[in-house]
Amino acid sequence: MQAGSRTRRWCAVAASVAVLGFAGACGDDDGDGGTAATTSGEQAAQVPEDTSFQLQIGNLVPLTGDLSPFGPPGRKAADLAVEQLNAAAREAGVEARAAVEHADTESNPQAAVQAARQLISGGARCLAGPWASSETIAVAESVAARQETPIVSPSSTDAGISELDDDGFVFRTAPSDTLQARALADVVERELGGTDATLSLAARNDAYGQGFIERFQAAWEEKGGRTTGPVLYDPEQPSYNSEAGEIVAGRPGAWVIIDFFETYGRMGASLVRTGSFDAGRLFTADGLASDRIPDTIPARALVGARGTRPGTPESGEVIRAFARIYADAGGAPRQTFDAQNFDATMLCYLAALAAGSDDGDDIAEQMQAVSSPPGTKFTLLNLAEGIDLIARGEEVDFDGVTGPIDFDANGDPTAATYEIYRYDPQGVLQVEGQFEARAAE
Amino acid sequence: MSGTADPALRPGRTARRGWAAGRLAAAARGPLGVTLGIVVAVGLALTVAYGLHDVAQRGVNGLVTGTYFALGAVGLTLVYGTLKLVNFAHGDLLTFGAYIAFLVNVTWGLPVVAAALLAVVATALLGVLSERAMWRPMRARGAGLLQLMLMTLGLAFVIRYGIQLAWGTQPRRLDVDVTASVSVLGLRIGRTELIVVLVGMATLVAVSAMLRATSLGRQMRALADSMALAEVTGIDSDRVVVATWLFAAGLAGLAGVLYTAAIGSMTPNLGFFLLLSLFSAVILGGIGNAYGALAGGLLLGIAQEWSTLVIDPRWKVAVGFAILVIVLIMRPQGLFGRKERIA
Repeated sequence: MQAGSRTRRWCAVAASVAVLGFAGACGDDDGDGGTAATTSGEQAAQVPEDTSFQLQIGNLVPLTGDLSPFGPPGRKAADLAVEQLNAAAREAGVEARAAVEHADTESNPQAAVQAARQLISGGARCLAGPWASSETIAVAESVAARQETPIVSPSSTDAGISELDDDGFVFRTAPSDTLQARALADVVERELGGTDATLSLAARNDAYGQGFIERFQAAWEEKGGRTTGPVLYDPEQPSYNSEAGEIVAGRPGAWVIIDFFETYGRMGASLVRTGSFDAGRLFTADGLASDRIPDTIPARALVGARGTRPGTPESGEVIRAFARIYADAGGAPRQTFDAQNFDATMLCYLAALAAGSDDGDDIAEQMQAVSSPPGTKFTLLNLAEGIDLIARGEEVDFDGVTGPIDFDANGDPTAATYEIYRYDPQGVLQVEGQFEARAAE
Repeated sequence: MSGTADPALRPGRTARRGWAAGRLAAAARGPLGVTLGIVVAVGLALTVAYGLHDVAQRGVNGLVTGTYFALGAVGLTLVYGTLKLVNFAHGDLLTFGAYIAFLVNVTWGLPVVAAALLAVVATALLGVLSERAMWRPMRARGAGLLQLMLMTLGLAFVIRYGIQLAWGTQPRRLDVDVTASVSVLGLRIGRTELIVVLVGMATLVAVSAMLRATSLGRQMRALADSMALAEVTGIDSDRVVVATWLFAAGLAGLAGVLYTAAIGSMTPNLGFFLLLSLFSAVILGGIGNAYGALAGGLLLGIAQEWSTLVIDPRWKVAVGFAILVIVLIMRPQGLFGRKERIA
């Protein structure tokens, strides 16, 4: 009985997902959907079969929870991307349109999985998001590969995501932490004027924190530097007095702590209470970057701290155009990863157009092709031209607001821009510089 | 700063010593003596290995965490002892108290003490309301343990999502300085944490004394033994049940406020995350026993923090629960529980 009704439900889901060539799947058990795994960098572009679909893009955003500061800007960026796409498609005379639906992931893996299922059953064929690495891993494993729907995370930087067994359905427009950890090590070396100082390392005990800090440690030790720790702490504990005591023990030259705001409110308070913590010697990363320090964080735990975060190229017409569109629309102010989500949403549509289909499987297959060379380069500035080229079956290479993207076989961008920021005495984030990092070949 | 803090510590210490001595004299020599003996032995062993300062500092940290657990656990154990109700909504009563304090302290701008008092009153009233609207009618119909337990679970979700609806999920804080700390004999403790420990301990001792010495306390204990027999002897069970809810929910409200004041921020999940630790403090100490909840909470807190000396701090929660399992294997009724309470 139960098994029967479940099978029926799965058939219903499969039927709603399958637009092309998948209709027979309910009959046989061995589900040969695994063929999606073939990555297709070399695939020659062809004229899309169908350019009259309406693509439903689902946007998985953290409107509440730890990452809630990123939610509203992320939602706005996705809305703007769809607006730009539809205007450009109209201009190019291409019938295919995009529409976006948002769902809150609550910054929580289980909620993200539920939100993803809800979007897919509502008709979404490609998902922008989710944001936290833990959410992306959960959605990749239990939704993306199983329901054959590509996800493009704007902000999941966990290095482990590259190695996920995701059948090629997981992409991200944010660079891997392997890249950022190395970049942060360079920044720390430059700011401290060498690698003589012993660094005390700590991180929240999750995919992001642990993955980042271990890669940082490796990068720093490669430079010949010394470290203590890392102290990894459970993010749900009431206080961190003992952990803080360990982090400040032995008078380290500087600290590197990787965390999100909600936990850092408590960890930061515990650190300040030890009496030997100086935020002026704290280095951190994108998880603790925000326009200004939220009021749940004790100021002394973060004022003067420096860090890296994925940025967007400062100069260049593309980023200026994006900033203008973003400002003109009103609403949420700029935030880290907004442009990454803009690019993620764009890629969903462009890949679908290249595939000539709004089937998740076909979209995933075209992601790498439209984002990386070879092909005619185009950007937000000549979006209509690019859409026209794709519709005519030409090979293209889309460069996003955030950079060239150029997905590799793992769905990771191979180059990224990073910003160096510092919190000033008023608790306002100041960008002090930026640089480009490329993945080692 | 240490000059002002030192005398402030003393009454708390004396009270604890008096309590311990009284307990020992009251012939609970068995479990309490053994527990204290083990704690002291472990403490000494750790001191030899890691030095007195580290062990004492982590012991202080454990005392702070333990006070959070104990404060939250007493109300839970009170309700179970008197009404045989396993209240999964207890954690969310803590959250409710914390958000009422936020409303009074931040939205209305009143001082934190006023906020704490109003939060206690509001949470106590919520407890009585739940008794009148849910638990009394259900008891009158003879509802089983399982039905009642599921209803508490439902109530927990209603309170939690009600709070989310009213205040959203972003973190909030009370207008309290969480970064100031005082240093006594080289041991550091946050100023707010110190106040919370002192207020919490004083409250817990007062509640325990109330249960032991006052007529109301005796009536509550009578109800805990048998509600029918207590009624036969002329106890107004309805009055005692309402009093139990006032105390239990009021203590939950207080625990919520003190907890958020000390840790610095709150989210609607605060009580839910704490609930498991509260239950283990209750079970560790012996279900239905107020002293037990106090001892269980402190033991759990100190064990967790001491464990960070030996192993990676991310495993400290597992250590707390491992101790729970070991104690229950050896003493299924909990440290201070009576055997006949275990069905």
